[in-house]
Amino acid sequence: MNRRVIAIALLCLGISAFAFGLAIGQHELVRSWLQYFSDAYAIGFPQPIP
Amino acid sequence: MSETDTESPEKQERSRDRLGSRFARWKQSILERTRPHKTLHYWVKKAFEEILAIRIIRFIFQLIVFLLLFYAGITYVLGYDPLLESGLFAGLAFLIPIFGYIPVVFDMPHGIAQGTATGFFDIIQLIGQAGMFPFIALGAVLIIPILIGRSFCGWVCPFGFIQDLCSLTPIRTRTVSKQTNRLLSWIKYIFLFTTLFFVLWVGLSTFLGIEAGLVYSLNSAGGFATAWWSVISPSGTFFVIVPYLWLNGVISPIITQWNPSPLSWAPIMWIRLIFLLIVLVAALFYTRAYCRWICPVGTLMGLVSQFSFLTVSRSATECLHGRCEEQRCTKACPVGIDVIAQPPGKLYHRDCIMCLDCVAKCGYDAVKVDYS
Repeated sequence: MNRRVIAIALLCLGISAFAFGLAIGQHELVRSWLQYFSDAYAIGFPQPIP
Repeated sequence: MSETDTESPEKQERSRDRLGSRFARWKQSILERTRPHKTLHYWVKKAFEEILAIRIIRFIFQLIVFLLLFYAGITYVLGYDPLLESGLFAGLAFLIPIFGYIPVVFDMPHGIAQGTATGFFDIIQLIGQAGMFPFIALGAVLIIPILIGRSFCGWVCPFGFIQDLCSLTPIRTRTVSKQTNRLLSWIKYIFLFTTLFFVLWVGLSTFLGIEAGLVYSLNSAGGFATAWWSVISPSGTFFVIVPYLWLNGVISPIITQWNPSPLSWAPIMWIRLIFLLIVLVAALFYTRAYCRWICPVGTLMGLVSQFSFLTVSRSATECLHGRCEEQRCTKACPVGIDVIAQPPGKLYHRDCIMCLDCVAKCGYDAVKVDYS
């Protein structure tokens, strides 16, 4: 199959997956993890203990 | 007898000369086409190209990202961000969620056995083990490499930058045979597919509600059973663990005076540090060794980037139908792609990190950037 067709198909699949993930609010989960680091500025960082 | 058979040796020699001179003219015309005349315009253009050489632009770009991530690691260890508190970077806070999906390997461990996360590979692991399908992260895996190939590896990845710095040392870099290269390339697939296997295993168990049976084994294996790549990622070790050890005065006493405290470290700490050391030493002798043979993030992107719109393309005519004797493009490639042996046209190679060194080094304008 033509590479370009596969590329466009994969791109459409990726955009759909990304949009669906946003629609079901999956980014909020990741945002909350990332927010954890932002909050850490206020509450003090957990220490990575060796 | 035909006429050619009756030709005298002198006539045949003259004929050969004519053929030879015709070939020489053809070759000259190609060279004239590919090598511009040295006019004022040529020298101005050349000076401009030298100043804004691709390598220098890439280096500056990599350096900026490296400093930002190194700074982020240090602020994490310090427990506060002096620049953010001063208000200098406060306006950039909105960028934090975006960094979650770029394919940069950089984890921030909150507890040594549990890595979390920026970079879509970490997010795939974390969301997957939570029993959900990582839609957004998977979308990023498909969209980014299709649009720009593995440019992140060549232009952004801070660990790639460290390896590039290693290859600038006076130590002579070596090449490996094609067979060895193929054999070593299996390592990255092993890392990638074992990680995905664990994610699938734990994720499905959690989704089906049978994770209770896994508790014992998960407790035994710790982070290795879940997001195991984040546990040993040398990037995380370099950007978080090493600054932590340094700033907490753990490393300095080891260097200045013998301090047996490292002996009491958890084995995982030793695994992380030894793995990082191996990767850095390998980078001294083999350019981008980690990217070529180990990195699962690049491997995952490479599987998609072979269909990328953005590639390097090689013109068959401009590089004398693959008979260019200098082969600068192949010699310049940091990931060991035999550029000149690839079919002419767009170069679809899963190892290509779009560093564009081949484009810069080719003296005949035969290797170009292609977006189609």
